[in-house]
Amino acid sequence: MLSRRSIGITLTWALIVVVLSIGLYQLSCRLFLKVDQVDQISSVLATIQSVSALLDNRAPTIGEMLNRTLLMMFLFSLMIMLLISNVITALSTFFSSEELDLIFSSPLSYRSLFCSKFVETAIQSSWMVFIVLVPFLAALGRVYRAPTWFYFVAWVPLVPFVVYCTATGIIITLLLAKVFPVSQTRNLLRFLAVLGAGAVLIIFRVMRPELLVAPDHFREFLVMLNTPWNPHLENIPSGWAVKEILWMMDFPLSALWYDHLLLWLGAAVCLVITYRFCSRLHLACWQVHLEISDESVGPMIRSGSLTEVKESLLDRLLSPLGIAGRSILSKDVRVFCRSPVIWTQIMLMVVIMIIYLYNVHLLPLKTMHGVSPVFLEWLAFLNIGFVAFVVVALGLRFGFPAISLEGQGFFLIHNSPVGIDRYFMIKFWSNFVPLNGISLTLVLVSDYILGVRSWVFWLSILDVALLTYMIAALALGFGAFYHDFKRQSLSEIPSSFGGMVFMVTTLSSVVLVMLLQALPFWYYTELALSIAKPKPWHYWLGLVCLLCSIGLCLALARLALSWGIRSLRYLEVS
Amino acid sequence: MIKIENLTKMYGETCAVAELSLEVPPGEICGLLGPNGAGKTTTIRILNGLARPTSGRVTLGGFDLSTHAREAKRMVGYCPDRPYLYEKLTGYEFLMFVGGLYDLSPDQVARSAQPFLERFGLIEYVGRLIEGYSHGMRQKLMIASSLLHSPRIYIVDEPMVGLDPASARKICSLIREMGSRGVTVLLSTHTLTVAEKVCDRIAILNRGRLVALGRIDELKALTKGEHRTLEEVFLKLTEEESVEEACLSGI
Repeated sequence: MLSRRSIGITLTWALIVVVLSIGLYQLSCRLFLKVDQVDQISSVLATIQSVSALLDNRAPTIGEMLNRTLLMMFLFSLMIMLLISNVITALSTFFSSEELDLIFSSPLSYRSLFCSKFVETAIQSSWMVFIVLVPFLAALGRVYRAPTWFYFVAWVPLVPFVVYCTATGIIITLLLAKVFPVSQTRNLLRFLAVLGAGAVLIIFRVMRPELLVAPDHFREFLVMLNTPWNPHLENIPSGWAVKEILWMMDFPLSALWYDHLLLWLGAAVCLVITYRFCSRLHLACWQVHLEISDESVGPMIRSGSLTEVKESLLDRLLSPLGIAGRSILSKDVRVFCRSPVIWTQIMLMVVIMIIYLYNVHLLPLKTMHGVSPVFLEWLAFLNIGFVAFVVVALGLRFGFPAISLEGQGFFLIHNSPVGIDRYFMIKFWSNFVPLNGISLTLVLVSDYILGVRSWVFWLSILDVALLTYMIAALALGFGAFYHDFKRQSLSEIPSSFGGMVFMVTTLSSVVLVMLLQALPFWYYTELALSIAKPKPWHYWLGLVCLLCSIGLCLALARLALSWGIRSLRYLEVS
Repeated sequence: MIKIENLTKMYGETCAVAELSLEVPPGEICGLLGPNGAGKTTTIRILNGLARPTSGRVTLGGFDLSTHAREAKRMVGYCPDRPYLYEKLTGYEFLMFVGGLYDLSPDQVARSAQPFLERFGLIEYVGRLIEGYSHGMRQKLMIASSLLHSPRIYIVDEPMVGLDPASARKICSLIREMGSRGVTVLLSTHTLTVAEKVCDRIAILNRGRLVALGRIDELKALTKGEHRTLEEVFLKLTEEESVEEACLSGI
């Protein structure tokens, strides 16, 4: 029988998924509609469209071609991410899973093992695909008035698409495992994963899809539709899946008979080939995986005397924190730096931040007419919100799991005289300082690019610092309350129920703080655009709203820290 | 040095420890025995502040654990039955980390750890990542780390699990040395031969209750001298307790 807590958690999860799906559906509808109506933006495009329709009334419109290309590009990017995700997941399911000891020593047929592991890998790596793509496809169906049955079966072509990705991922994993031990493979593949994801993001940015709706770049737009890249998009599993989906909507340029065959029969053949491959190689590679690497790091104990070991640079740098503070922080830094998962997450975050700043740099502020200082100040104000969202994402990835990642070894801290209060505050400051560094860098660089006035500059710094303080405290507080010392995967902890609650609560708090400051900012804009002079109550309103937002940030941070300390103090450690 | 007064721990309806009272003076090695689910680990967790008692009082070295937890924890060294270590640290870094939690400087940690590591044969491995250690090596590292701050009270739960006979012997002699230096030791074990060799007194728990407490000869006297070994005494005492409870519950 399900407990009330389980039911509550499940319902909350379902609510979050539904709300996110509705949001994604709405955004996708707008995107597809905007792209579909691109010929209405430019008279040249409209003329081309009319001529094309006269020559062949079944020819696709420019909007349809663009949406088709958009879908191809999106599913291609997804395919790359899925491939890499499947390779990493296969490492866990096919090699690191604890039950493999029992299964390989039992008389169970390899077919049963393969089937269960294949399905497990596919679901673990791809469940997010369905959650993201289902509202996306529903939006496509709505914009192009697809038949009713489309909404129930639009997801079906994703199944062979996922089979292709999973099968290929498993084969790559086994090939790499054949060459060297799995512990090294994981390190290599995680770096490759991030480089691959980063490359996709960067390539996508370099392709500049904003050209799709910028008639000023008509020439580049036509070139883009006809680039040699397009034929390659058509002849891969993502292309076949897209054409199958479009075929269901009776879309022009959709699947022909060989596309159906390649998608469905091809997936089945791929599955059989993967099974044959695994049945020959899996056991041998798994046995090699059991060999643990004999790595020696840190200070060399050559003489056999511990007293002769020199203090490391890290320990010297942290010595002002006191003995206990230094030992906790140096342990965290070492574990952090030696975890390949964390490094791949950091690389991904760095790529995202570079792309964020690149986007700000790309804003055509110099070429646009009538760009007033007020417009730039609004951009700078919105920028504070965007930076805060980036910090929330970082807080979820690194701050929220900080307590849980102590693992079963948390008893060492709980059992020691260091005290939970002191330990918690050390953890808080060690999370806040780097987060603040990142957020201030983002806001300083983006404000410099925007060229805002000095009072906006200083307001941005104050706001971002306060928001980062609040977010870091909320991350630690929620992380302490929703601790899970048994889960050691950095990817599982943020995607837990507690992680979702943290994200929703923190984003809501950020929006509240921004709304408090948006009110006086709105009046400031009205005054700046008119010839009226500000009245005394305008200044009071600005001051009160600023103080309220400062108070809100500090109060929420204080509450979160107290809550986190209390959660750990009364924790029963198993 | 260890004083437990009417300690009770309830998990919902289940009583893990019931009205346990036990006193272990300085320098004594007291064994804590009992079948699975007797409440040994729960008692040990409460003594280390890792669980809160439902009622009762625990005093360690004169400090009440509920009001002076930090002072009490400074005096206690604890080694759990399963060595949970940070895989991505080397043995040396782990010792420095644990020593730092007890405000020991790196020099103090090095001087304190050196004899233990030499005794356990871990010196040549201390520069390697813990993820490459065997279970026995981890257990020995855990024991070394729990003794860095020279505790006056040492609580150890199943120290011999996963150790080869030579290492187990070293641990036994280490515990005896600690007792002779005046350290109060509470040792929980299933290995009755170890308890016989090492412990001055033995407390037997069954279903959360203390069913027997005393030296080996005193325990044998409880069974009217019918049983020669501690194992026979233990089985008899825990069986009788189970039968009595079964009768009372009408089974």
